[in-house]
Amino acid sequence: MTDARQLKREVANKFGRSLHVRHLDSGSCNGCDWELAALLNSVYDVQRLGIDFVASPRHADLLLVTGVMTRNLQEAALLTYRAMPKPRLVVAVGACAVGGGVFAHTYAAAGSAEPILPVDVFIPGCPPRPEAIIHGLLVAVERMEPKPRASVLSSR
Amino acid sequence: MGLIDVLLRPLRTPVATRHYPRHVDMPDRGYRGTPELQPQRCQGSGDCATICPTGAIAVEPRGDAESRWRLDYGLCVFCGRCAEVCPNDAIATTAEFELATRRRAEVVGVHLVKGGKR
Repeated sequence: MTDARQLKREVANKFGRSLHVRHLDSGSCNGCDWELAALLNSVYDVQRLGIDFVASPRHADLLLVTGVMTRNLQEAALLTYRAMPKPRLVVAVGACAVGGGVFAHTYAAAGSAEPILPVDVFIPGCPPRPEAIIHGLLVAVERMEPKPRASVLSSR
Repeated sequence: MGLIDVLLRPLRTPVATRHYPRHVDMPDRGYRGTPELQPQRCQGSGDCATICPTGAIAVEPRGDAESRWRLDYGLCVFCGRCAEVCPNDAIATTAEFELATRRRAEVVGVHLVKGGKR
């Protein structure tokens, strides 16, 4: 196990039952944002898992990025990331943040979140359903295991 | 109607919360989820790759009789067009939704299918 991997595990242990999340909309169509809003309602209620949304990146442990990275938000996204106290995690939510999605090649878009921010967990979906986002957040703090598509499909 | 009814309503209403990681609720019927390929049915026509609006599907010939079918779930917008156009009904949208991974490359599904150069 590499040092970086060990450090990640340590971070996950620290955040495991108390994770403060800052949501960053880097140019989203609002689909993913609505699914994130649903996380806090009484049906999904992420606060029962110790996850809460905070108003400032300075209070956050994890940055949830939704939407394709637009060129005019590139710098703001970096500043948001830098404002977070270490250790910090980044999760990309939705097809746009993960791979660029439908808006990747438009004039105002810089592409997916990955080259600009160091993404720890990718949550595909357009938008991912609230359960999928909870799964992603719990994967980020190592409370659930990811199911990589490559291995799922090759085992069949 | 009366005030008593209003006060008692919350006590009579069941808890709405779904206990996700402990209890997995499958999506409702008709949910258009993750498209998945049944490789034994695929004939390698490549129609899915042509119709895909984000270019998430690629069907590349590998030799004369075989093709490599590749779906990048990180690009997929779950529109279900690939399942609609497939002449052999080899693609179906499933209820699977736990797709989160730690590495970008892990959200890509690959199959070897019939087809090849034509």
